[in-house]
Amino acid sequence: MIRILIVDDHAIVRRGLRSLLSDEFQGATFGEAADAQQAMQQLRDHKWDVALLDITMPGKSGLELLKEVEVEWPKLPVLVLSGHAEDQFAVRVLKAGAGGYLTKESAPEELAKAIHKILAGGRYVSPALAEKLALSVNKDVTRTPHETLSDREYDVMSRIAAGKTVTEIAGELALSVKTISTYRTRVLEKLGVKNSAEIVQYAIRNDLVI
Amino acid sequence: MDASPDSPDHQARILIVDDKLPNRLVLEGMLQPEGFLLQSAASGKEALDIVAQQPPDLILLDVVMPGMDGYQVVGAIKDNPATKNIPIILITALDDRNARMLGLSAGAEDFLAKPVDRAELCVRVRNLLRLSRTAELIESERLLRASSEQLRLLAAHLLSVREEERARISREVHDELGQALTALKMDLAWLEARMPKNGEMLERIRSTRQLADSIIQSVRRISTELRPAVLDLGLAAAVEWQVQEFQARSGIQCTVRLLTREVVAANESTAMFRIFQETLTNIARHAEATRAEVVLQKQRDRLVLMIRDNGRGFDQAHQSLSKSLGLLGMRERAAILGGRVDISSATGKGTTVTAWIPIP
Repeated sequence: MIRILIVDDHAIVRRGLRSLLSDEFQGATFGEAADAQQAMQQLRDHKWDVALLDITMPGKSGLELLKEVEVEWPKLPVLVLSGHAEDQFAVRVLKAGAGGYLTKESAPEELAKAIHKILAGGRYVSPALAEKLALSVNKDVTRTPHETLSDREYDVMSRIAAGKTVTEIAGELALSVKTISTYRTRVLEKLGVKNSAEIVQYAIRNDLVI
Repeated sequence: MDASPDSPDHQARILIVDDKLPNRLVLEGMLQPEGFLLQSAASGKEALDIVAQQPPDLILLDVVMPGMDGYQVVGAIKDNPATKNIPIILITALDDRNARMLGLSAGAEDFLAKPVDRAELCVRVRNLLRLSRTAELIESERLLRASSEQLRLLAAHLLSVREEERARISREVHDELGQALTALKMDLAWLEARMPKNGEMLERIRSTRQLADSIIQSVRRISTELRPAVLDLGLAAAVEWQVQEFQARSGIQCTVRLLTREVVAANESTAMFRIFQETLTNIARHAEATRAEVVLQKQRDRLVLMIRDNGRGFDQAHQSLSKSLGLLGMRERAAILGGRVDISSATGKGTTVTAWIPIP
């Protein structure tokens, strides 16, 4: 018999989920928690097969709770259900270890599909979100040289442009001088310039100096 | 206010106080050709009445008078906050050091010895008038500064009240309306599953569910427009989300670099986020850009957000009122937190907006 824990601060939502899921998972056992603290209690006291987790709750947020659950019960599949649009939270939630992300008003069939999938050890995102994620992979338009820098290279470049020495930058970013020197060399290559002075000129010309 | 201290079109009013008519006439005769407006008083009391009714710009005051003497008149005028700034020239006997000391301690500005020399009188009068007008200008500038500081505080207060209100309404709309609608929709789904597979009832429930869906979407949109919940995850998360949303809406290709995950107070991340939104709005409305770059970075003790576009740029000296008000609003938001917004742009050269706030 499958055991499902529902964590949501709204009683009506918990009740709604419960009645929907009892159709799909006949004979399932349900547990409820209205906040992070109750959820932790339920998780300690009983064994669960899957947890449905609301993201915005009073007190500790669902995202924080999720991180704790991932540490203590890494094998427990968690499906995050949120009232917020997917584009705001989904990626972060998945990165934090959730098995899936759904908006609360998703169709019951989708909800059931998601639970089955994460119970089987997979991950679930809605078709709409999957499409969005695919689109967000940058279409490669022609880029200016500094746009081809990695984030770290860019950071080093803008600090050189601000007049910092390699040693100073190493101190600021808590990295070794050698590492910063390597980044600097790559910046020189990518920007097609010869030395730090030309990096400064490039930055000024392109309005990158802060 | 618009007359400069020496401007000839400002006619200074000078009050001459002396108990002896011939003395008054002599002084009037000397000052008349200079174009001043002259008034006379024959006693200290009369002088104070005139000062109370219509304060002059300068007073020439004889020391020795029956009844109220010159020192007493000086004392009365200098004790009154409304009249204490009127410069007074005391007319004393030549070499009367004692009289000068008394006059000084009573608060008179200057002295003239009898017999009064015409040239000296005119120079001293003019100098004192200029000094007092400069003092007036300084004072009014100080008042102006104080009132603009007050206005800035008021604007800051109104901004924070507005943000709090937005956050509260956004949360209420999302929590109360959103959750109730979600539950409603779940119940409809439950009902739907129990309906006979075809028939009018099922149709009706389906269309009701669709209606609930579109209301949920509206509620979500309203809540997000008021204040995106992702701001609770920090400025970087909010910027990242806003860029994606902007890219999808405007078609402008964006490069985002979030080089810091520095956590700042809620009011600070909200301010930076609003500056960011305003900048994106400007890009979408005016820039005709095809690409934009966004960099969030920690530099020294500053949190810096830079937004650059490759659009047509604008001439900073000539911009519409609504646009300049928008820019002013951005600048104010940063200024409230001790930061700044710099905008560099020129026609055809794109625009770079750099906003920073100090971080501890």
